[in-house]
Amino acid sequence: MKYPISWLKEYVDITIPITELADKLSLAGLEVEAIETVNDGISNVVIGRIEKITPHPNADKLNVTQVFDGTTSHQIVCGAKNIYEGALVPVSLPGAVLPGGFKIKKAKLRDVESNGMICSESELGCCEKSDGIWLLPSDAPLGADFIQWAQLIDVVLEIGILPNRGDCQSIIGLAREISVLLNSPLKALNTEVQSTPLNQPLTIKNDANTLCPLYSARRIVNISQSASPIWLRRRLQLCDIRPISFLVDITNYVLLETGQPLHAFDQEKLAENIIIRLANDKETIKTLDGQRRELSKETLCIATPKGIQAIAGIMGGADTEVDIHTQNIVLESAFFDAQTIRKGCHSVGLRSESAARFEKGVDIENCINAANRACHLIQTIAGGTVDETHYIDKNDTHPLFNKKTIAFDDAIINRLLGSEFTREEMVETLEKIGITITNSTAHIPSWRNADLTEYPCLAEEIARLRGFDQIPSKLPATALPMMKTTDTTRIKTQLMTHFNALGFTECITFPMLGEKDLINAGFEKTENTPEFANPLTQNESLLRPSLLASLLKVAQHNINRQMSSFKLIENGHSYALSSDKKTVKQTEWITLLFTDTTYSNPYKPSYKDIRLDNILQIKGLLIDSIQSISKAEITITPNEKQQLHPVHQGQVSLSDKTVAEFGQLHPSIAKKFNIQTDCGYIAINIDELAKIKEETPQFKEISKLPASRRDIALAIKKSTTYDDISTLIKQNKSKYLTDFYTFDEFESEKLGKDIKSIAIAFIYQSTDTNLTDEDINTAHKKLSETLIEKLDIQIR
Amino acid sequence: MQKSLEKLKQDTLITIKNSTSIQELEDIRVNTLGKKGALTDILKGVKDLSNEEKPVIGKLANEVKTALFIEIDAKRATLDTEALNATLLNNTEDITLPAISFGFGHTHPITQTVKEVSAIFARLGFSVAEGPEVEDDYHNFEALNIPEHHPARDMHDTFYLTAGQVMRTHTSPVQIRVMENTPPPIMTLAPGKVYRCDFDVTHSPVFHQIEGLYVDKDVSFAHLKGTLEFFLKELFGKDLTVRFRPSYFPFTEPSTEVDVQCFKCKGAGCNLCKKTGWIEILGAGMVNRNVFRSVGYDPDALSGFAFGLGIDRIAMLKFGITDIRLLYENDLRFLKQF
Repeated sequence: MKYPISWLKEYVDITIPITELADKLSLAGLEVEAIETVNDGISNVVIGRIEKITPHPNADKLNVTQVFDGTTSHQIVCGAKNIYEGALVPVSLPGAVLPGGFKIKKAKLRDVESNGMICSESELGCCEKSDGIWLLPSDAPLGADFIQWAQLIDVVLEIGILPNRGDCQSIIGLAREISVLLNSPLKALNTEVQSTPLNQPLTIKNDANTLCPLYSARRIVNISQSASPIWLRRRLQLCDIRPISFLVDITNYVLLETGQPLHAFDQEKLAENIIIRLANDKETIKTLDGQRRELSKETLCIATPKGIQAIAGIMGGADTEVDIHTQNIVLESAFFDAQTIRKGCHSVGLRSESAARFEKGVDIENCINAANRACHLIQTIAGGTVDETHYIDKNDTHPLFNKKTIAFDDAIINRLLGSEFTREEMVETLEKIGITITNSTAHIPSWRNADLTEYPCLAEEIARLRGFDQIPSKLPATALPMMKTTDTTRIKTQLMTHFNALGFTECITFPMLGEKDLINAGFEKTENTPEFANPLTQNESLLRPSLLASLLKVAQHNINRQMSSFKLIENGHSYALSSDKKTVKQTEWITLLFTDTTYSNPYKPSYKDIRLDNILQIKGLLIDSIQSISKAEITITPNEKQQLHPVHQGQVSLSDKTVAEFGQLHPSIAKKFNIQTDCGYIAINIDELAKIKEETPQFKEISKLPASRRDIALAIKKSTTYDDISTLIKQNKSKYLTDFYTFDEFESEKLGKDIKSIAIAFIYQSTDTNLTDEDINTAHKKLSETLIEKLDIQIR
Repeated sequence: MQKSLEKLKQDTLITIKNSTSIQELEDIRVNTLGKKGALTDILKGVKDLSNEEKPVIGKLANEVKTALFIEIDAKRATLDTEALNATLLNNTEDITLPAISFGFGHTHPITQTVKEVSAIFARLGFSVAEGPEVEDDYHNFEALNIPEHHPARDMHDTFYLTAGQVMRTHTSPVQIRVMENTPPPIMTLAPGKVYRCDFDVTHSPVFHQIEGLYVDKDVSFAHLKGTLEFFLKELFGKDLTVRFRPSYFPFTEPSTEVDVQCFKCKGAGCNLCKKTGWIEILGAGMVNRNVFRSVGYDPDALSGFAFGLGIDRIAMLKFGITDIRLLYENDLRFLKQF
């Protein structure tokens, strides 16, 4: 909310510099977000009277005026249409400075001398746009300093009021806080009213007195409305409220000043029976903004037998609206339940200054006072007769009328704060803000009713007002050993470091995607895809089923910026709805997407063609990383992920749990993201990997006896897989075969179209006997024969 | 004869010293010490010597022989080294050419910041916990003392899923989950993504927070101050002033915002601190008694403090990043700077 200093000063003396005040407020929990000096530097604008207007000899749209400033007359050329002879206007004379540093000089306009400028409201920085010269009321003092008279220069504090400090959402509320901070008395509101019995009956029927424990209505008649005084309009504008008409302006003014929303009904349009009740379902009202609105049965409203006249605390109805001709009003000042107002705003879809006050809780003890303030202002400015009877419906049994108390114990407060304030110091501080202490009870003032509930609230008040710097600093006393790092944390940290060392760069993407993104990436929206009820845009309306869809967009972003080689990695989640739709299952992944050579900058021939996005390298990259985490045996099985190459893909299992998948991106998907080359994909399911039980490896004796190697070069059909061969070897191996591995593989014309060569080394070793050549040859021969027999292959 | 031996030694030492190749050295060895070498020649005269002279000359001859062998070996080692060095120098690579390597990858500035922050708190005993990003209303709001229709809900621009869940608007629900599953005392840190439906230069719909929670008997606001001062000084420098400013969060009371003196202008006021001299870093407070009640802790027996800090903001300050959106574009030209 915005607070003009000039207005605050009506209620509390401010003698320190504004920046110092702002610091004090910020350190007391009222954060000053901006200090705005309004019209800083403007000067030399006086109130003048237009004596004579003659047409400009050389311009159709201009007039030449003679303006009298109380001592001299000045010739000023003016283009506005709303001026007339005798009008009182603000005049800036040569040497004047207007908002924005605009300097007024003598000038010639189409050959006619002009000695100044007659100003509009916008030229004086008082509104955005105005339709002509600012015409002043007839009582404006001729020749006076207009800047001072119209209070054009002001300093406005903008303060972010926190949800618990509804009591500070008003000039008086902030002035009260300032009076505590500056040790300066708070001045009372002038609420003096001359009342007269009107003897016009009015009944209030309160059918919702829990939600509206206090409702007051008062008649004011024979008001002679004209435009609101400049100072009043000015203050509303400084607080970002648009002046509308006198009566509306007054209710807004009192709302800003006291924090109590008021509503003025046109008495002639309102019946004599006011009913406070909840709306019936689908009951409608045409509100002040001209819209017809449907209400729900939780919405509190002010009605007459004819129907709803106002949505209580939120907005008035068009049927009983006051206008510039209204002379007689019924002024409402009431307390409406905060939650009910908030719910009402949601269901009607309306927010208002009034609702913003009610939903943070207004001061029930201030309702009548605020109404009196409005009566006082109306009567002072526009005359009118205020009814002697103030019709009040009060639910005396409502808890709000019992003075609220909180148990007070200085020791407990010091224990929570870690402070050493004396009881006297605490009492002194609390009493400044209206909290009285008797023995072990704190009595809460009505304006803090909604906010202060338990002793930590008192501790907070003491701490903030005495200063957080008065509390010592200590390090925690608990000797608590750090909890063990969870398996997921350990695994992901290790894997990220592993891939980082291999050149992968970490991305962080949003998990929100559009349906189009899913389709482009080869996925589809299913009934298990979590969907946003209020997405920012349709492109961010779903939660991703896979990190692949997000990383493809990153790839595209970089390719489109001439970075077509990349090694991307992300640690993030995929999301799916559970079958009962009540929960969303999050799965944590480390996902890699890459198209690049293995070595960075491989300018030497031997490095040039080694690509990391080759399927066997992709597989190797994944297996190495899994083996860095787990010693369990890895099984690789085919996979059918449609986003990947139909054959060049697979999944990795450990102890029968699928923990990862890998492959080359399907070219048709790659193309959609401008990826022109092979592209590797690896996704490691961290949640599953963390479930693998790790056994501590147990030492096996290292053989001291020499190992022997025998090689076989096989010519095999291309349709025979390495898996076929290795399975057979494992099934038929001798007990001395400790290891075997491929050391060569190639195809050639000489071998023939369907044949390839594969060379395997076999390592024979025993831990207890010295193997003779014969032992080894026998075992090796037996194995070779089995391979030839079972696999239709030839030994080369 | 004695003189001849001395002369042979001196002459040969000079020729060894002057030799320039292994072959030359070998020739010297053969010519001097070989079967038909100069030494043998000289020693042919021994038979003509007296019995007194014989052992004296014999000893001298051995000394000459040993001395020459040692010198030849030493010279050979020198020549070998020189020869190897010459070979090495002949076949060199230009080592100023660019390196060929895997190239190291880059860790996202957010992750780097999370690691740094967690490491500081780890020194005080805080362990890392995690919780779901898709939350229920209860854990994100209700249990944190933000009932439905509470004005504080306006502070959170919440994303809702059609199935009724919310994207967590802060990491605070992890507090609740940790307390629901763990008896006190607790010292925990919860880093992670959070979601708000808001997007401009300073707001991103997804950003990162770290939540901290310390619950035990007799935890006080003084502990909150001590812990956070320690953290901020470790992170930003020991000479910076830290300021605690009263604030409001439904789940803590008293609540505070913590500012550090602007490290760019040292408090004088600049663009980074919006002329205030202070940079707002985190929010914190003493755990609200209603929060303890909602997890079944006894609010009279326990107290605690909680804090939440925006990782993105800290990363931006630390690395001088001006637009939050850069963090999530994943442009390699950006990521490779860190």
